[in-house]
Amino acid sequence: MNRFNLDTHPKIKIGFTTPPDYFEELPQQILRKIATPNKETKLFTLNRIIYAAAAILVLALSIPFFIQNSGNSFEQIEMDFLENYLSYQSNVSQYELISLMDTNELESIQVDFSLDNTEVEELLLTNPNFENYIIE
Amino acid sequence: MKDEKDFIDQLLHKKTQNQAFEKLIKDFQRPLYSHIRSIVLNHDDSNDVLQNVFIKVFRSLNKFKGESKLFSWVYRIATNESITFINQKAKKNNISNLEYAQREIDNLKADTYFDSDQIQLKLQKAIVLLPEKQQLVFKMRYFQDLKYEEISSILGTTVGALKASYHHASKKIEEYMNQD
Repeated sequence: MNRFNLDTHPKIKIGFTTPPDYFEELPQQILRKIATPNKETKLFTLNRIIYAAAAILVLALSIPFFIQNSGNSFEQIEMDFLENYLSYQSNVSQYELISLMDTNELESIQVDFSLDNTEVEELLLTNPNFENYIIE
Repeated sequence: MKDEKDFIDQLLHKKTQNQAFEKLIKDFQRPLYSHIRSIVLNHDDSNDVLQNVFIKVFRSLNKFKGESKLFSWVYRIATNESITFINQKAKKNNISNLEYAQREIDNLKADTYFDSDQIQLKLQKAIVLLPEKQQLVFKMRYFQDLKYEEISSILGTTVGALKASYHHASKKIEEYMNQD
């Protein structure tokens, strides 16, 4: 049997065919597509603006309703938030905070333990961390 | 050369553009279809790619600087579009390009638009096993009878390198065709 050789073997046709009239119809098909301009996608159509405005309005109107039902007033949220922030997140020391208060404010937060000396001694002896209190 | 320059001027001029572009389609549609079909293998996909190529050519006409021949430029776009199409199809199916091409060749047996005989199918099976560049060179040279200089201007490879590619491709194909 002869070995297959591309140079001596009769040319093998690729064998691909097309539907009838394919090449007769193709130019017009392409020209039609070219004649149709690209539809540019508009980001802000009138409909979208109307829907966006409606959504914003609904959200704005629902804010008071939401706050009323949430059980917390703005003042409460703000105070809790501020206290937590000052306690855990900021670098403000208690001395700096005290320096910002006037005498009346300081008196209002002052706690009078009214302990006598024996009670203090007992407390220090029974508490293993008493050194921290002495330093403070 | 002057004729081509005049033709390009017609393509760029609004008044003559449509008529000139219709002529371009008619001149290029058959060879480009063969070229694209040899890469993407089935008719429907070839039709999609071919139409996209012409639309892309039309929309990029103002970018054509005339540094290469119109023929090379159009063929280069068609080659790139066909390869991109195959890559995307394979990726979409989560298979390699080789697996995708082998599957398409198996489908050719039932393809209405393929005059199938055993030796044609075997040749297609041999070609897909080649590296991508060798496949392109072999198809353009063997099936489309393009000159090495023409292939060189399309693929941007030297004539010497193309001849070497074709030689390697031929040897591998002959080896495959001689297997039972």
